Amino acid sequence: MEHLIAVATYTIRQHVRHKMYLAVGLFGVILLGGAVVVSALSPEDPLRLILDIGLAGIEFLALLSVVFVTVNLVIEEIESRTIYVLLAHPISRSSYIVGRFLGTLAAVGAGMMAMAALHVGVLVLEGWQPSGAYAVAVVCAFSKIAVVGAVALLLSLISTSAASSMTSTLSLWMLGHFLEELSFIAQKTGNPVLKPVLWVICWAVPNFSYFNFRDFLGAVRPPTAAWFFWMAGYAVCYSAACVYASCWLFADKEL
Amino acid sequence: MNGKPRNPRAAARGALFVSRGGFRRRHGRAAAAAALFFAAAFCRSHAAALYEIPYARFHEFVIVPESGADVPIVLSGFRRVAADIAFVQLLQYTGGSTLPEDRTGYGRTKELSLRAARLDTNYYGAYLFGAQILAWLKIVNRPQEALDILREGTRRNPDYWPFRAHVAAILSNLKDQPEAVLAELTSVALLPDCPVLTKSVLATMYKTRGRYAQAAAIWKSVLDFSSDPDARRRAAGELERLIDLAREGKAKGPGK
Repeated sequence: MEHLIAVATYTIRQHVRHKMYLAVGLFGVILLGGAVVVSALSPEDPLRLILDIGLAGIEFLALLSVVFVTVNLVIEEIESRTIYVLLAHPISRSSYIVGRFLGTLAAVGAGMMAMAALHVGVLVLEGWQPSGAYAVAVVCAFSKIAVVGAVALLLSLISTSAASSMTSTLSLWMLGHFLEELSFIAQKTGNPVLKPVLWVICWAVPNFSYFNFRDFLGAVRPPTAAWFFWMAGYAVCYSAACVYASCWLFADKEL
Repeated sequence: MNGKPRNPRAAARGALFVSRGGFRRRHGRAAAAAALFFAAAFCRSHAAALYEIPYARFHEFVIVPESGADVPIVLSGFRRVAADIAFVQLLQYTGGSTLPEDRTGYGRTKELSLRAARLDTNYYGAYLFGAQILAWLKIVNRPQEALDILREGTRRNPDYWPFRAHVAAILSNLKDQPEAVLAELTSVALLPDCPVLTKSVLATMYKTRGRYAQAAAIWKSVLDFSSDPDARRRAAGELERLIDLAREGKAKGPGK
């Protein structure tokens, strides 16, 4: 546990010092400011526009950060051979992978929280009444980022290049938002070959629609607290499965 | 070199043991990873059973020249942003349609409203804005299209009462469908968050038609469920008046 915390702390420091982290933060500030300007286009409901663009911006920047950082997390260290210095210490390979993943999540999560605080500030200045649903939406977005980070980590250890890992992760991101449609096609199709293939895809690929709580903000019938509980369980189990598989791959990897 | 001579049978046994151990360890890890994936699937199936995600299907999306980016944005997970862009384009269209050369226009209002509403089925403003333009703007006056939009809104969001209230208002404006208006407003009055004002309008409509029993049922629901003391006092008074009217034998029609 001590080693795991040490690796996670080292990872957080490494990310916070990274130029990309600062660039993403700056871009987030510009995006949130831009949302206020763009909201003037919709005098009917400007707050909705600021809310939607802000939440989408927070998630988009977190997605870019987590995919870029996680994919390069191990690959860069193997290429620069700094990994040997770390593994020369009495640190197990599993602790290294889990620590690196948790450190990355903590760094990206802190960035998301900072952007969310700024976003709430902008919304309140525009006359928005703070609500708990916003916090739930941000937590759900973070769960989504955790899942995609775990998937990116697994793919980076399966694949040999960072570019292919990033492309695969982003493709899975899009497929994960298409799964509601795929499951509908799987229900409707009578093709005996296509049906099981679609069914396997629907259950193997993470369904990101379950984390889009922000799509139901202001809905008359939003999801219940029990739904939120199962969604959190889904995020934790799916991320844990990917991280576990990553530890397994990394344990057998020849460095 | 100086140790005991290597026994080939023992070495083979050792190799077998190691490989069997490796085999078991590897299968144990695979089983643990699979168990976690199954746990994730279990949680997902429970979440799916608790809440049906109310997205419109892709084949229901309204395809217009402006909708090139709709599907990519939706696939990126930013459905509400796509709906916001569609709504801003609807506003621009209706704003531009007021130009003198296009005064008989607004022809695309319905499709542009439905485009925004199907991208985000909870976007109540998109349904209402399009329906209001089509129903209440005198130079447009296409109430049937407004009713189509509102009925789709009601089908997708049965608990959102303003859609039914608008349908009732449009139907009452058509003047020849009093029963349809009463039916729409009665379905609104059954919803728990229906305002007292709407219930009051409905009760008055029943009362003027001599259907005191229905009017009394509406006021009784106000008395039973409203937390507003003024509304409850008024409901009690109206109930007393309706009982008097019924006793006087002035009641007419099926609700007697």
